Amino acid sequence: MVDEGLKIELGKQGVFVTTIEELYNWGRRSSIWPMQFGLACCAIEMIATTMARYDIARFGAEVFRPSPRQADMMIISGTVTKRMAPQVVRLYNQMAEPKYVIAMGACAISGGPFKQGYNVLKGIDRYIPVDVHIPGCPPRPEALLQAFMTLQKKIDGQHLTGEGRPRHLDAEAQGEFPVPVPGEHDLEPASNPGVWTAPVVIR
Amino acid sequence: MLGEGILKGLAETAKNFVGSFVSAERLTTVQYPEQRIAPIEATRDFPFLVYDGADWEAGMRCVACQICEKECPPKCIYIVKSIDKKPDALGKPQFYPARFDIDISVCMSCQICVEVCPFEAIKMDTEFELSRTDRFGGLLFDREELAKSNEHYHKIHPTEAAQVDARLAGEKAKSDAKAKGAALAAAAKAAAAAKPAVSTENAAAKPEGAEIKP
Amino acid sequence: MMTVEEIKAAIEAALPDAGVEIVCNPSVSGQHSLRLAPAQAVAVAKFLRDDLLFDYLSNVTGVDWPDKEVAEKVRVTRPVTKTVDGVETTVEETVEETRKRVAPGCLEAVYHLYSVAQKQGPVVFRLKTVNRTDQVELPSLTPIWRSAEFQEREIFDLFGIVFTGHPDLRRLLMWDGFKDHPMRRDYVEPDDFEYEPTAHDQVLARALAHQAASRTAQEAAAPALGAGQEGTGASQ
Repeated sequence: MVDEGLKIELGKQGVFVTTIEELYNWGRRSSIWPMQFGLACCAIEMIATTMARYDIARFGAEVFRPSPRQADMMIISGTVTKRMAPQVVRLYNQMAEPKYVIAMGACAISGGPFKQGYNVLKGIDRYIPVDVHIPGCPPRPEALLQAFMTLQKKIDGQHLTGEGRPRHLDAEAQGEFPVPVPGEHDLEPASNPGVWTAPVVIR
Repeated sequence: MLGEGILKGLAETAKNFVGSFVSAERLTTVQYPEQRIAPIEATRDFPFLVYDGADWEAGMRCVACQICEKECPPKCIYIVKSIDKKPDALGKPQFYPARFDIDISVCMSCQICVEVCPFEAIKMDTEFELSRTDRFGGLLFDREELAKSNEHYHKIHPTEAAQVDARLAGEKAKSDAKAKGAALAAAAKAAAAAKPAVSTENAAAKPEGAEIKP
Repeated sequence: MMTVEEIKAAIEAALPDAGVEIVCNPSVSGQHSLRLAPAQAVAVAKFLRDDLLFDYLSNVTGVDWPDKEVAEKVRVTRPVTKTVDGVETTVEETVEETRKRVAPGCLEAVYHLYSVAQKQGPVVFRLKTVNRTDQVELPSLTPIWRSAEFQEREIFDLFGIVFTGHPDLRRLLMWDGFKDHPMRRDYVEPDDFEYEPTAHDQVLARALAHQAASRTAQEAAAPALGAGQEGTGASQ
């Protein structure tokens, strides 16, 4: 990292100094293209965010790509039913690295108000790794923009080498996430232990 | 004319497009986060617990009656009642919540907890910038995170807070008047209990002097 | 506006052997319904649609009446050996005893009909199955009112009533390989209660059961850790 004071001094002389890591992360965070993936009511708020009043394109999410092959991020907006969950995981597998997930709304985080329903998956983070969770039912468009900024800050803070490097630079961490199979009573498996370990809450 | 509808539509689009460069009212984008839309007073996002005064533990209005816990539709509130009691704003000893958890990853902002609370203890906050990367710890609010002062309530919902304060002040005045009346009645009763003892003494002492008066 | 009695009379006039009963609704709404015998249901439905002009089937729902334990008092005559005047005799004695039996439940489909042509309705009628276990067939009314198609599929999915004569009877909301019927009273949700921080009542019971089960699995996997392991609270 370059010392801030030195940067400013050089900047006054007309010399711009940065590191490869900063430049790389700046390029990544400023052009996150989401995938067109709305499931339920939160999708309406997501669409409102793309419209003129809030305009997510100002943050770099210029186009919502319909194909997962061309998208960088998946905004899971709406209730994930157990019938839809294998499809969500399959689409996530088809996205190319680096890829991010925002779980928008109560239903995507935990099943929300419909948590005890017979066809409701209690949160998509059971099967795929989620980067940012936005509570709300539905969250305001500004809340989605703030979550976008949180994700951008997270990307900015990633180091390209070493232990905590992002998944797309770590050959071992990559791979497909197993797609759950609809079984006789529930999805099999009920969750992916590599992705999701719930803490035990004593009640 | 053939194609008139299309031309009208194109004219509207062109007006909007060119207008967004020249006139301020055609550019509707609110540049969040630098600009924000002013929230209306009835905005609601997630609940918070109101406390009076400076100390959030001592001044919390919640008495752990657990009505909001029972009425919450997705059951996202969890309350554990305390064992001891502490005095509330009217001076009466009340239970308080030893644990008050709200799981905001389930809360649907329906405001039913606010509507059923008899003690004006839980109200809706307007804070929505709550995105988290940590799903388990970050989205389960305990009572310390939920406690916010009455001044904060006045700032976000001024009319409502003024009405609540007026109502609570009225109740306090009524209970003070009742306490004063009860105190006066008790004092009068004590005085009346003391008087017959005095007058029986007088009556006992009087008879010799009674014939003197015509 | 035809009342239930008038409709019943009209049906019985046209189809004499249609087994129609009136089910009285004692509540304030007073919405009485008709119970039809499944064997004649299609004929009665056709009559309702063509002659009484009830052309709009707005809703079909299912009801699960579970098995009920009924306690009834029965007078039983039994020979009892008693000692009368020192002599042992066998006397017939009539005793009242309380017997418990299980009244079998059934599944029911409830139909709501409106007449758009005559601006009438709703007319509610019900069809009951024989029991909840193996005889769960009812005739499908999709050939009469097309709007019953998806709704009968939903009842098949959630309750398990098999509608004979339905053009495409398969599950609607759950997937095809699913084995249970979620809206039945005895449905037990699968065990996905790993994280329930604000659990109450039944959910709390299931969450505690899940914790107990996972704790025994943990102890079975690593019994050498010892009894002093109070690790469950620490990871919160």
